[in-house]
Amino acid sequence: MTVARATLATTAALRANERLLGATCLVIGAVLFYVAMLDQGQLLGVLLGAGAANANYFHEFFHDGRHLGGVPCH
Amino acid sequence: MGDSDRRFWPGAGWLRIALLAGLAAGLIAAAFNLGVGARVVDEAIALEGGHAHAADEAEHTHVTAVAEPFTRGEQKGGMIAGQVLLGLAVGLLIAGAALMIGRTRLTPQRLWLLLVAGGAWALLVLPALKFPPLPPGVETALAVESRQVSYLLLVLAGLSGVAIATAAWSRLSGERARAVGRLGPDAVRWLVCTVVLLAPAALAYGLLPGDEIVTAVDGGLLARFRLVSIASQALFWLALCGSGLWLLEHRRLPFLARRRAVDA
Repeated sequence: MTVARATLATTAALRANERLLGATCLVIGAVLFYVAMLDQGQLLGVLLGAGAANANYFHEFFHDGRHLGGVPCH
Repeated sequence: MGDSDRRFWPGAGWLRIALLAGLAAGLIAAAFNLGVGARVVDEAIALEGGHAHAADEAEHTHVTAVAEPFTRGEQKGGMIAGQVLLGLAVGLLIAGAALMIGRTRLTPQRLWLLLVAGGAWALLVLPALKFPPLPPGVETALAVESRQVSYLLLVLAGLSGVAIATAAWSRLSGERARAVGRLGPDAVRWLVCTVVLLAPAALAYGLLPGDEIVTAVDGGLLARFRLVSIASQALFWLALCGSGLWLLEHRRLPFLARRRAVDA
């Protein structure tokens, strides 16, 4: 009985760890997708100010890949 | 398939497998873009420059050009970096989805196929139908922010359809399968799943605003660009699918196997 309970607890803990890792992957994946494909200066604008937002560095750097990747660019 | 194969679940190993597959897909698509895609992009940018110059001449204006933050060479580097980043991002999203779903009756290989197919449906097929790829220099009626929001809503609708259809497929199996009229249980299952897969996408396709090109554009260049863009994306998803399946089949390779012991 005790062994069965311990096994169940371990399984539940492993499942919780997997879900936490899964949620972390989803968040980081979404941020990377946003940086590579969608950002129009907002992210660096928040971090570095209006100059970086106007220069739109991510858009300009990933420009060709965004067009070829079929995402809205201009 | 052996018993251990049936019980196999990568667990946290999904992260390593999906990241490596994403990296491989990103590099393969980047090589294609560098060899084939860059030529069409260069052609479109040259045309865009020509149009801008002609407009200035016609209006006798001499506007000082705004300095671009990156040269064309650097932007080609950005194209490779962007494709790799996209591969890693999609790998993380797929690993995240697999870990959140957890063990199912599906083998990891089938789950991988399902997730990659769902991603390709939502990120390649639907956007290509509603907002076909546009080369540089082509302006459309919708502002880029509106198009981005519509693009994201379309992608979310596609992903919702995949999630609902997968759940429906699972629910309508075994004892829950029902025949309706002359349709057998399998036909009902396929019909219901197809309808719930397509319904959110059709709704989004119909409700989201359409877009139209407002600048003069070379029809031949536009068609070639769209072909190259869709081929590049298809190559990315195929490479992702194939490399992920290969890694799952070769999970006992040293760089994929879990570390079982810590040296004393």
